Amino acid sequence: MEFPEGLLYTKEHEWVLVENGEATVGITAYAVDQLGDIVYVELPAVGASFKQMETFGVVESVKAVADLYCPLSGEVVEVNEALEEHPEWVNQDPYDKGWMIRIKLHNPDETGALLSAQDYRRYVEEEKSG
Amino acid sequence: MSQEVLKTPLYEKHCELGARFVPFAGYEMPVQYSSVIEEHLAVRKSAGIFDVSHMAPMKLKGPGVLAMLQFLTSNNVDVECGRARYTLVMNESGGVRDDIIVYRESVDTFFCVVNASNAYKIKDYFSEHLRPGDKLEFLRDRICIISVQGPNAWEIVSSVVNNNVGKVKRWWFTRVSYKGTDVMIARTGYTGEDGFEIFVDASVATDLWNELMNAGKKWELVPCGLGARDTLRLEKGFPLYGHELTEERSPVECSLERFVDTNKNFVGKDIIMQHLAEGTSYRIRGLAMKDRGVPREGYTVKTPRGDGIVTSGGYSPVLKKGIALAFIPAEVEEGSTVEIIVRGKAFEATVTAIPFV
Repeated sequence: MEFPEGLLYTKEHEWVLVENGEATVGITAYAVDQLGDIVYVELPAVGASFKQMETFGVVESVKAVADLYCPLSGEVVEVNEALEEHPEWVNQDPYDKGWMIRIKLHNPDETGALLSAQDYRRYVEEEKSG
Repeated sequence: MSQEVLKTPLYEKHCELGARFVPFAGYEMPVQYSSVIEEHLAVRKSAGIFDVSHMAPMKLKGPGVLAMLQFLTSNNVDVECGRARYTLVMNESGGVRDDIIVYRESVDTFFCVVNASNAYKIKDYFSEHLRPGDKLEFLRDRICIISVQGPNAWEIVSSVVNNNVGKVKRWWFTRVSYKGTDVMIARTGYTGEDGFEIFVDASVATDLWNELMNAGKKWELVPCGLGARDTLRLEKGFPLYGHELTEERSPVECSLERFVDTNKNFVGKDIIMQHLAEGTSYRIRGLAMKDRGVPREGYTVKTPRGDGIVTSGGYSPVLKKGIALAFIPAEVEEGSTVEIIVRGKAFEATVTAIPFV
């Protein structure tokens, strides 16, 4: 299972790419594997603000519903509207075509609470065996 | 109470095929292999193969069995030998103890398949009502049930058992020999497609599964888990025990009156007659989402006649939208719009005839 280096991760299985005071957010390959076929992604409107680890949306698969947690505080500047028509992109390509929101960060220091790819992989292994 | 997790004789096979498992009625069962949607669509287009050995077969034999089954269940099971019939095991208040399929083997021998979750409840209930000289044999530990479903199911099954099972009509069954064992093949299922449920001795079940998989290659036969089994039955509006069917809801309330034979006497009949004559205030109906969103069991349904509840909900891979069975006021008309409350927000849905597809 792929957890790209250079991304940061939450224990709720979101990934985040931080660049120039902005962050792109999606869910990890592990989250996608657990959820199965994703059929609906409910995303916030541009302009909405979220605190770190606040719920910003919902993902529905055939089997389950899961909340989406905002890895860092910020204001939504862009959402991946294509997911409305193509929720399956999250399954097929969670780190690229399946991205969900882009936020303008309120507090870049918060990244300290997130996991590196290596730490996240270890966390997932523990959760699997747990 | 701690209980050992049960595994079907095909468990190792499922692991080999990369299944993901869920606990279901005490069993560790495959929920999906590749993707629920892919498995679902394979069954609609060509064929899928399921292990449903958690279901509980039992054989009832004796001169009093027919009368007993006629009294304890709602439908007429006095059918020709070789025929199968869906019927409801009733309780005294008009509710349903279980929904089962009864296969008549001979004048006095009936093979019954009951739901996994009700296996012991029904075994005990039937046992209490057996008359002297009648016998019940619980066969779950000895029989595997392999279900092959889909428009090409008959091609696959007939090529393996070397018998023209294509001639066996829907709701009939036959017996064939396989590796020296006796196999019962019924043209029944829970997907709404043509298909077969194969009752095979546990000792040769893996061999038969392998042969079916090999024969199925040319038909793109796909192993399917309980996930697809659930979405397939939901699209057809088939009820599931514990969701639509319960001890508290009558067959009329479940819109299943076609499985009630009022020409005979049976447990709970007085209540059913009253429900048939007067109607019921609530009924199980189909709902199809107008908006995006997936209705789930337990969600509230708002109608102009009062609130109801989703009993089974999910995503229809064929319609590509959310669908549900719901217990709502009976007066709500087909085609009208209701609201399903999804995480505090109202989503519109249309009251729809079942089956959905």
